[in-house]
Amino acid sequence: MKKNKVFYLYACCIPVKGSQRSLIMDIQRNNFYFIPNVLFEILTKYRTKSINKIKKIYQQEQAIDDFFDFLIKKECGLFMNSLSVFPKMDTGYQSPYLITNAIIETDRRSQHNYTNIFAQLSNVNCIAIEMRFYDFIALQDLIKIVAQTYDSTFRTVNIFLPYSAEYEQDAMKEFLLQNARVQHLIIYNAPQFIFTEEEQNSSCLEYVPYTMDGSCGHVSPRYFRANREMLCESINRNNCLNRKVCICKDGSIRNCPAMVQQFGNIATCDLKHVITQKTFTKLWNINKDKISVCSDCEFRYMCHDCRAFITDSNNIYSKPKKCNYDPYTTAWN
Amino acid sequence: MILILSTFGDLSTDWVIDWINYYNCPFYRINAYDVFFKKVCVDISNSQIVLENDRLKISDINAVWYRKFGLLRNSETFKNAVHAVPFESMVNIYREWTAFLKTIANIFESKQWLTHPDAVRLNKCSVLRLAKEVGLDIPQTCVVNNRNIIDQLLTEQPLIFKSIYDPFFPKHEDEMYTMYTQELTESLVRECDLPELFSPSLIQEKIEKEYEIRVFYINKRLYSMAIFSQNDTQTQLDFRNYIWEKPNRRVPYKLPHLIEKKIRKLMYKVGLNCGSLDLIKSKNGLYYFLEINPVGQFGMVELPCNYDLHRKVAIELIKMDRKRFSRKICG
Repeated sequence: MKKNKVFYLYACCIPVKGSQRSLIMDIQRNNFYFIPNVLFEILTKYRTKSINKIKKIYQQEQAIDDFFDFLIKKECGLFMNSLSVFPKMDTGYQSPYLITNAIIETDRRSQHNYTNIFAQLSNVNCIAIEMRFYDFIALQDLIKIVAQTYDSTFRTVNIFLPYSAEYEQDAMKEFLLQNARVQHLIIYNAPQFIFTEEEQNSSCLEYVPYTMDGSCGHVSPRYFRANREMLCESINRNNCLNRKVCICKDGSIRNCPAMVQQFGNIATCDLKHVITQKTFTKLWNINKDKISVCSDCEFRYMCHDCRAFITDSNNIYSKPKKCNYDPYTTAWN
Repeated sequence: MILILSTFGDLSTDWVIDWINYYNCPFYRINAYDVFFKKVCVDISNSQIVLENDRLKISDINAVWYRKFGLLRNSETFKNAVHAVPFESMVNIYREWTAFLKTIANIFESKQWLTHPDAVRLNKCSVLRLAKEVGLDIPQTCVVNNRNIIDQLLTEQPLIFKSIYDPFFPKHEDEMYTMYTQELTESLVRECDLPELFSPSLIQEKIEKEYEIRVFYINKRLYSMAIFSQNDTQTQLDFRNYIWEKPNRRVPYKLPHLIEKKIRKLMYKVGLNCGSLDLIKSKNGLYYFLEINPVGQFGMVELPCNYDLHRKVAIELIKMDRKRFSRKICG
C-alpha cells in the first residue's frame, strides 16, 4: 500500500551530509541521529520519489524498508501521498539586534564607566550581557553596577565572580531575587560544587571549583546544540562571533575576549560606529561551510566555531585548533 | 506613531518592538495593568492620554496594535480582589473595567487597527456558522443541555465537548483543573453521572484527524503550521496536553488556495485583520474549520516554522502607521 507513497521527512529534521556519514539534526528535540550517506541522498536528491521508485533506483528492497523503518521509529517523518502541502523550513537568519551578546571583563585595574558601557550597548540593542570579574568585588559595589542596567535593553545579565567568603549563599540568593535580570550567577574557584535554582524567577546560583582561564574555543559534543537558532545562524553566519562584542579589562573593544585585534576603547569611541565597520564584522560571515574540514563535517550546524584558536594562524578559514574530531575517519582523536 | 496596547511580560510584543526599534519607528506601549500601578489620565475633552510623565496626543497616533490588552481576571489585583469583595461588586468591577478598556479603544476609533477590539469577542458558534457560510467544512456542532440527546448522539458518532466561549482553568484547593477539549464517551457520561439537565454545552462530532493546522493570519496573508499529534494518545484531542520531552512535530504547511481564499472571506466577515485559526485535516481528506483565536499566540507558529513573523508584524504596523488618512480597516 505504501509503495506509491513518498516519505515526508519533517521540516524540523534536517539532513546534514559529512564526508563519511551523515546525520539528521532534530531541531525540535535537540538531538541527532547518524545515517549513512546513501540515506542522505535518498532524503534530498530523491526526496519527492515514491518508495517504489527509490527501490528501483537502488535495486534494493529490504535495505530501503529498513531505512524508513528507522526514520519512523525515530519519529523523523511518515509516509504521505504528496509533499505539495509541506514546504521546507526557511533557514534564513534575521536579527533586530546589532549585538546580541556582550562580555564585559573587569579586574582590579579596570576603570570602567558602567553607565557609559550599558548605554552604548543599549544603543546597539544588545539583549544579553555577561560580566566577568577576575578580582574580588564587594557585593555592595556589584549591586551598584547592576542597578545601572535598569534602563538598558538587556534581558539577561550573567555574572562570574571569583570565590570569596563574603559571597554567602543567602546574600547571593537575595541579590538574585532583587535583580530579576540576573539569571545566572557563577562563583568560580569555589571550594565545592553548589547549584541552586530560585523558584520565583528561575535564576541560578552556582558555586564551581573551576578557574576562569582557557575555557574558550573547545569543541566537543558536550557543546552541541541542535535547535533552530543554532541551525540558521550556523548556515548564514559565524555562530561564535556574529553580533558579539567584548569590552575588555582595559576598556578595549574586541569581537571576542580571546582575539588579539582591538578596535578602540569604549571610554572614547562610539560603539555603534565601531561594530558597524567592515573590519570589525569581517569574520561574522565565515560560516561553517567556508571553513576547511568543518565544511566536510556532519556536525557543522550544531557545533560552535572558534576563530581565535585555529590550526593555521595564516589561514583564517582553517579548522578550530581545539577540535579533535576528524570527519574523514569519524574518530575523536 | 504606533500605539501598542498589550500586557506586561508578553514576549511576542517585546520581540515585535525590537523590530520596530530596528526600523527606527516611533511607538508607545501601554500595558493594561499599568492602570493598577501608574498614574493614568484619559483626557477625553483634550484628546490625550497622560501616563505618569508621558503625554500621548491622540492625533499623533496612526496605528494601534491591540494585543492581549486587559484580561482583568488574569491580573494579581483581580485575583486578590476576588477574596475581598462580594460577588456582585466583583461583577460590577469587571464591567467597569471592560467599559474603561472600551473607552481607550473608542478614543482611537478612527485609527488603523491591527485587531479591532470590537471584533475580539467572538462567539464560537457564530463563527462556525459564518465559516459554513463561506464554504468551509465544519464538524457537526450543537449546544445541548440534556442527557437524552447526548445518549442519542453517542450511538451515532464519537463526540467531543468544549467551552462555548473561553476555556478556563479553575483552581480548587490548590489543584489546577484544565478545560481542554475532551472526548465525551459513554463511560465518561456514566462515570460522572451526567444529570438529565445541565448548563448548555458545546458538543461536536469527533473528527478523525490526520493532523491539526494552526494558521496565523495577518492582513490577508496566511502562515500555516501542521501539528502531528496523533502518535501520542495524550495529545490526540488537544495538542495543548503537551509532552515536554517529546514535543509534537510542528512543521510549515501550505493550505490549498481555495481554503486560504475562504479563510480570507471568513476573517473579513468577522472583522478581523489579524488572528490565529485552528483547523483539522481529517483522515478522509477534508479541512475542517474549528475556531478563530483573535489574539492568538503567533510565537508558537513562528518558532518551529521560522516564518520571521515578529518582523512581519512590525512591518505591517509600520505600513499601517504611514497610511494615516485611510479610515478603512485593512482586511
